[in-house]
Amino acid sequence: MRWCLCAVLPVTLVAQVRPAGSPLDPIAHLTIPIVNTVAIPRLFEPIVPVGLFHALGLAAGLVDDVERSRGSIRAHVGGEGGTFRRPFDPDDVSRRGAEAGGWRRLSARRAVWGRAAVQDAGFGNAGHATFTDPYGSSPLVIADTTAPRLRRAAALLEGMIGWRLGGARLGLGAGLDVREDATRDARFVRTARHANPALQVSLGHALPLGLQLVAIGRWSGASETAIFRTEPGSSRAYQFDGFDEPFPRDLAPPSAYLRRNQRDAYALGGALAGGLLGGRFVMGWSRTYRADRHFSLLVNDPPSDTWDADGWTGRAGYHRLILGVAMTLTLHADRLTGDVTRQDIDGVITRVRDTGMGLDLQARWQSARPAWDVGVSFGVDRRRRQVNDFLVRVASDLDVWYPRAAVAVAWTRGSTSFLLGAGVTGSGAYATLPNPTSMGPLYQTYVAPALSRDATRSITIGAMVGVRRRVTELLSFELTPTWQRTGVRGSPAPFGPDGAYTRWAIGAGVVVGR
Amino acid sequence: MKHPVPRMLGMLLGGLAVALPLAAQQANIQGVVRTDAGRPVAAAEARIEGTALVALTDSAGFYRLRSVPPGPQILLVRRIGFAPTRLPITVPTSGTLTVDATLAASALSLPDIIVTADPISRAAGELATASVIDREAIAAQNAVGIRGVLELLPGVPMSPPGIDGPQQFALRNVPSSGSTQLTNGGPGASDLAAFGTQIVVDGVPMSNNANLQTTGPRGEVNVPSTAGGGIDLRTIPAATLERIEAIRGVPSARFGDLTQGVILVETRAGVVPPTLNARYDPRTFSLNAIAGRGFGTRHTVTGHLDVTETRTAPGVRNDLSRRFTGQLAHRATPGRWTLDSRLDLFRVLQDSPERPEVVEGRASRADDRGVRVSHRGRRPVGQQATFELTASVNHVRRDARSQSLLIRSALPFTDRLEPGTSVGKYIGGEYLAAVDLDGSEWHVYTRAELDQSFDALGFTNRTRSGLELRREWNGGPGYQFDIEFPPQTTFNGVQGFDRPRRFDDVPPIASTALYVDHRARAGLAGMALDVQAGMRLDLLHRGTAWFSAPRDQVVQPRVQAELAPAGWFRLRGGWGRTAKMPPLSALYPAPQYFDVVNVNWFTNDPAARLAVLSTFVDDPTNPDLGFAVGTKSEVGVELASGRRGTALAVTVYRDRTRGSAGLNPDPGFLTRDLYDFSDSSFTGVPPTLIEPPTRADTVPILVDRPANNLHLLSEGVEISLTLPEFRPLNLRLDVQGAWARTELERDGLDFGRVFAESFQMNANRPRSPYWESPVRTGERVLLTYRLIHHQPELGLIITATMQHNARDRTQNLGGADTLAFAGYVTRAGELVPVPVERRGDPEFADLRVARIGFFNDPSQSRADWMLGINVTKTLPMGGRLNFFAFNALDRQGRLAEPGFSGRNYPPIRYGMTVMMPLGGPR
Repeated sequence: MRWCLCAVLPVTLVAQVRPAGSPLDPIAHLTIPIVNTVAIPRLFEPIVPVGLFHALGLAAGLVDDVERSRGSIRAHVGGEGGTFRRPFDPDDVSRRGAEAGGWRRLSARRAVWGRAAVQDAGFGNAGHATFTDPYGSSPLVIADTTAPRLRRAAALLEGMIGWRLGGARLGLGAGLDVREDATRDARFVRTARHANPALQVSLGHALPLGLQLVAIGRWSGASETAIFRTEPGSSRAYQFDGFDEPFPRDLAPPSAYLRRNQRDAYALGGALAGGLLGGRFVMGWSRTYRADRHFSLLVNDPPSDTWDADGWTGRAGYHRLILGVAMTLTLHADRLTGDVTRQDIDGVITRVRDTGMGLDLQARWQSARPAWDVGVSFGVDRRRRQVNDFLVRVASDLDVWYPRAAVAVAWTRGSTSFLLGAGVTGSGAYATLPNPTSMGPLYQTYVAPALSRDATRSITIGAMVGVRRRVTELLSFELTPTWQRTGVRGSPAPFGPDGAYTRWAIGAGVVVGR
Repeated sequence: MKHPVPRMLGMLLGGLAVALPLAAQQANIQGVVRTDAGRPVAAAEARIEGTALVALTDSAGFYRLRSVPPGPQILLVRRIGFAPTRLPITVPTSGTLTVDATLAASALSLPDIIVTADPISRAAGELATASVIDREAIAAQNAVGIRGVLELLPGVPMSPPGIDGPQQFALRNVPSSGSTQLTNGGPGASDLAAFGTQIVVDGVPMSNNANLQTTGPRGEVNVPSTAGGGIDLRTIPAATLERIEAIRGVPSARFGDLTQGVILVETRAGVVPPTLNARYDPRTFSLNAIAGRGFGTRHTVTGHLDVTETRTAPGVRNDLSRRFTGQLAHRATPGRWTLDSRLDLFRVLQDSPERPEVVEGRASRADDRGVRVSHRGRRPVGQQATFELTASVNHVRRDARSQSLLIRSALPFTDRLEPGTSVGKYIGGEYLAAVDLDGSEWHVYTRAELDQSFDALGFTNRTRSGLELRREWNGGPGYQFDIEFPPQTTFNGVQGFDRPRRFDDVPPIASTALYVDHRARAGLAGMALDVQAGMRLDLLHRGTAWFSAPRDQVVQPRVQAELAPAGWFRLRGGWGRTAKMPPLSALYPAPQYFDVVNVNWFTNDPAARLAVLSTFVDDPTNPDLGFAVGTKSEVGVELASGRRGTALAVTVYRDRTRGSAGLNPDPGFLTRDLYDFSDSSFTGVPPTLIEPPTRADTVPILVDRPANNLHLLSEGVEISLTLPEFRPLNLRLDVQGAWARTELERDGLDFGRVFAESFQMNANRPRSPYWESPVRTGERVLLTYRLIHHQPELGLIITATMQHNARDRTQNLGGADTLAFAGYVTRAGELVPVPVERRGDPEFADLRVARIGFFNDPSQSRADWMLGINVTKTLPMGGRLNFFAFNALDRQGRLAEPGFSGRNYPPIRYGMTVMMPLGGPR
C-alpha cells in the first residue's frame, strides 16, 4: 500500500477497489499523511493475483488479471478531527458519499475496470491553506489568515479498458477528479475548484518464458483555482515557497484575488510480469515529471511561481501460495527532486528532494469451506524530505520511518461473515530542522508546527469490524466500520502539536460478484 | 369523401414541380421487429417519419407499410418498454423492400445509439432543414432544461447546466456588439432573434408578446426578465421532453409569428412507467417524477412533476433560482375522435436577497407562475382527411421586485401625472429606490386545420389548410414605485421619465392567420422529388377583437424543394416570407413624462426653497407599427449512407428580417416658461412667484417612439458530419460546424451622448450633431466535435464534446471621426442634414465633436476550446446513471490582448443524475 494514497484521503474520495497506478493516481507527488497507514488486511475483498492490473494499475493487464466480474456500490459516512495536526490540515471534518465500481470481463479479448464516486464534505475548520493538498512535494502553498467553515463537493470518474490482440496487450485509461470548495457563513469568502483529468496508455507484448513486457505512458493535468472575495470581510494571504517569510498580500474590499495552479505531470516507463519460483511477479519503473505553474490572473499571464520536478517511481510485487497460505510481497520506491522559481528572482529559490520507499508482506490463509479467513501484514515505509531554501540559506532534512503490523480474522457462519481486524503503525523521525526561534513569525506560525509534527514520534492504532451477508451466490451486503487514531508518543517536538487525531468511517454497500 | 377545392389547390401548388412526366410509383415496406434477444415484438409501431404511414406488428412481429413514397425515408419503430429505433432507408419506386428492425430493452444496449441531434432528419410534415433530437439523445444530454438540449444544434455554444437566470434561445444568430446605446435601449440582435424563434409545445405556440416586465430604457433598477425576447425556457424541464424538432430552415405555412425558425417540442405522454429522476451537482439539485397509465382502452393519463433549484454562487451569495413544473396529460379516443388535453403548471422563482454587509439595499426577486390548458382534437374526415382543432389558454402571473440604494443630489421634483405647471419639491440624498413589476399575461390560441392526402398526377399529395386566432393581453397591476423615490437616473426628466403604469390599461392584441400548405412527392427512375409550398396570411387587428379591421397584414409565400438523384444524395432549397407581430410593449408604449424646471430656488433652509416644474406628457404610440417581415432562404446538400450511419449535411442560409420593433428617437422640443420671483433669502419662507412668466426658452427632447426600424440579417453555413462507427473501439465521431454572421441595423439617427450631456439644458448651444445609426455586426465560427464511445455489454456511453470557438468577432460599422456627423438638430427639434463635402467648413466647427461612446474597432476573441464529458451507464431494473462535467478541464479562456478582446469560459460544473423506473408500464 502506498502511503501517498492514504494521505489524500482527507481531501479526496475514499478509494474503494482502486489499484495503485490507475489513471488518477498522482504522478510525481509525494505527501506526508496526517494519519499513518494501518494496513489491516481487507478480508472481504478477494485475493487478487499480482499482475499488471492489480499491482501496477495498468489497463494492458486487465485481460490477464480479470477472470470474473465484480462490482460494488457503497455509501459511507465518516469524520475526523483532533489537535495532532498541522496548520494547513483541516479539522472537524464530516463526510458522506457514495461510490460504485468494479471490473468485468467482456470477452476473451476485452476487460474493463471503472469507478465513480461523489462526496460531500463539511469542514468546521478548513485550515489555512486554500489549495487541496498543502503537504505535497511542492512547497508552493497559498494560504490566508482565516480558517473558515467550508463545504466541499467532489466527484470522481475513472475507467480503463484492456484488449488482448494476439500476443499483444493494449490498455487505455482515463479519469476525471473534480472538486469545488465554498466557505460557509464566512465573512471572508474564498472559493476553490479543482479539475484533474488523467490519461493512461499501456502497450504490452508477450515474451518467451511467459513474460509480459509493457510500455507505460501516463499524463495527469490539473487546474486548481482559488478565488478570494473580500466583501464583507478581509484577510491577508501568503504565498509560501519555502522557509522564507512570504510577502503578505492584504485582501480588503473591494478587490478580489485569484490564484490558479496549472499542472502537467507525465510518467513514462515500463513493466515486466511473469512467473518465478512457482509464483507470479511484477515490477514496474517509470520516470516522472511534473510542472506546476501558478498564476494570479488568467493563464496567459507569465506564471508568478513555478515548480518543476522530476524523478522516478518503482514498484514490485510477488505472490505465491506457500503451504496453503497466500503470500504477497510488495515493494515500492519513489524519488523526486523539484525546484521552485519566482518571477521576480532569477534562479532556483527552493529545492526539495523527496524519497519514499516501503515494503509490505501480507499473508492470508483461508480454511477449506471457507469458515475462517485470517490475514496478517507487516511492513515498513520510509519517507524522507530534504528542503533547501536558497533565499534564507536554511535547510531541513526529515527522515520518517513507519513500521507497522496488522491482523484480521473473518469467520463465516451460513451466509453471514464477521470480520475483526486491528493494527498498529508507529512513526519515528531523524530530523534536522531549522531553529524556529531564529526564523520569522510566519515560519513559526505556519511552517514550524508542521515540521515539528512530522518529526514527532507517534503511534497509530486502527480497528475494523465488518459484517457481510451473502444473499445469493453473487450478491452480498456489507457493513464495515473503521476507526484510526494517531497520537503523540512521548512528548511533542518544540512548536509541534500535542494530543491525537482520530478518523472514523462507516461504510455500507452491495457487492455483486465474487 | 372528396374535397375538390383543396385538391385543386394542391394540384396547383404541386404543379410547381411538375415539369417532369412522373408516373405514380410507390413501394411497400415490410419486415419483422424483434428484440435484441431475437424474440418477435408484437404491437410495435412502424412509421415512416414525417408521414401518416403507420402499421402495427402482429404476434410474429411482422409489419407491412403500403404505398410508401420512393426515395430516402426514415423508418421509425417503437414500442413502450423498448428504445425506439430509427432506420434510414431508401425506398424503391416499386416493389417490396424488406427491412427488419431490432428493439432493445434499453437504448444503451443498441449498437448504433444516437446521442446527438440527427442532422439529416426532418420535422414531421416539414421539408425544411431541421435537427431532430429524440428521447434517447435528450436523456444522454443530461440537461436541466430544454436550453441544454438545444446545444445539440449546430452553432449553439455550450453553457453551464442549471437554471441560474432567464434562458432564451435564438436560432441561427450570433450576438452583435452589446452597447444598448446603439439601439437606443431597444432590443439587441440576440433579443430579436430569440423573439422571432417560435417555440411550439405540444402543438401550441408559446408567446412572450404580452410580457411587459421591463423598466424600459430609462430604468435604472432592473429585474431579471425575458421581456423583449423569447419565452423563458426554464419553464420546460428536459426530463419531460419526448422529442424536439428544430426547424432551422423555412418552416411550412402552418407556422407563424416568427422570423428565425421553429422549435417543436413534444412532451411525454401515454403509458409511461413510473420513473424518478434525480440530479445533484454542487449548485443544482433536481428531482422529477413521471408516470402514465391507461384507463380502459380509451383513456391514458400521464403526470409529471419537477422541482429544481440552482444556487448561483454557493458560499458567496445566497442567490437562487427555483423551479416547479407539473403537467397532466390526458388522451381519450371517444368514437372517431382523438382528444389530447394538457394541463401545465409552472413556477420559476429567482431570488437575489440583499447582502447588507456587501451592498446595502440591493436585492431583486422575480416570481413567475403560469398555467396552461390546451386541447387538441383530431377526427378523420372521410378516408384521406383529418380535421384537427387546437385550443389553449395560457396565463402567466409575474411578480418582480427590485431595489437599489441610489445617491442623488437634491433636485427639483414633481409627481404630476397630467400636463401642467405646479410647485414641486426637492428630494435627493441617499434613498432606497424600489420597483414592482406585476404582470398578468394571457394568451388565447385556437387553430382549426384540415389535413388531406390524395394522389394526383403521379404525386403523393398532402394539403393542410387552417385558421389561427390569437389574443394576448396583460392584466397586471403593472409598473409601480413610490414616486417620491424614483428608480430613474434623473428627476427632472428632460430625457423622458416613467411614472407608474397599470398594465390592465393596456389594450389586448388580436391576430388572425389563414394558411394553406401543400406537399407533393413523386419518384422517377430512382430520383425522388419532394416539394412543399404554401401561403400564409397574418392579420394584426386594429381593435382588440378578431372582427376588427386589420392594422397590418402580411402575405407569406413559402416553398421548399428536395431532389434526391440517388438514395444517398439529396439536394435541397427553400425560400419563404415570415412575419412576427410586435410586442405589446411596442404597440402600446408607456407615456413619457418630461418635467422641465421653471424655477429652481435652492437654499440651505428647506423652508425657503421653491421649485416650479412644468410637466409634459407625450404618448409615443405609433399607430403605423406593424409586423416585422422576414425572408428566409437556404440551399443544402445531404449525403447519407443508411448502412453505417454516415451522414454529411451542408446548408447555406440567409435570413433577413426587416422592420422589427425598436425605439426611434424622435426629436422635438418643449417650451419652458421662466418666471420672476421675489427674493426670499434669509426670510425662512419661499419666494413669491410673479405671474405671468416673463420669458420662455426651448428645451430639445427626444421621444422614444416605437417604430419598425430594426433590421436583422443572419447568414451562414451549417455543417453536420456523422462518421461511421469504428467498431473495434466502439468509437464514433460527430462533427457540427457553423459559420454565422449577423448584422443589426437601426433606421433613424443617433444623437449621441452629446445631446443629453451638453445640448438639452444648455440654451447657449443652438444645435447638436447627429449621426447615422451604426450597423452592429457579429460573427462566429463554432465547431463542435463529439467523440462517442459505446460499450453495449456494459450499457455505457461516454461522450466527450469539444467545442472549438474558432472565431468570435463583433464590430460596429459607422463613422467615429469628427467629420462623421450627418447633420444637426436645432433647439426646435429641426433636423438639418449637412452634405459630406461641407462638413469640414468653418461654420460647422461646433459640430465636429467626438462621437462619445461609439467605437468601430473590431472586437475579436482568440480561438480557444473547451471540453465537456458525459458518461451514461445503465443500472439494474432499467435505471440509468449519468455523470457530467461541463468545461471538464476548467479552462479559463484568455485575457484581452492587443487586437483581441478577452475570452472567459464559465468554470467547471459537474454532477450526477440518476433515472430509476419504479415499475413496468401498466
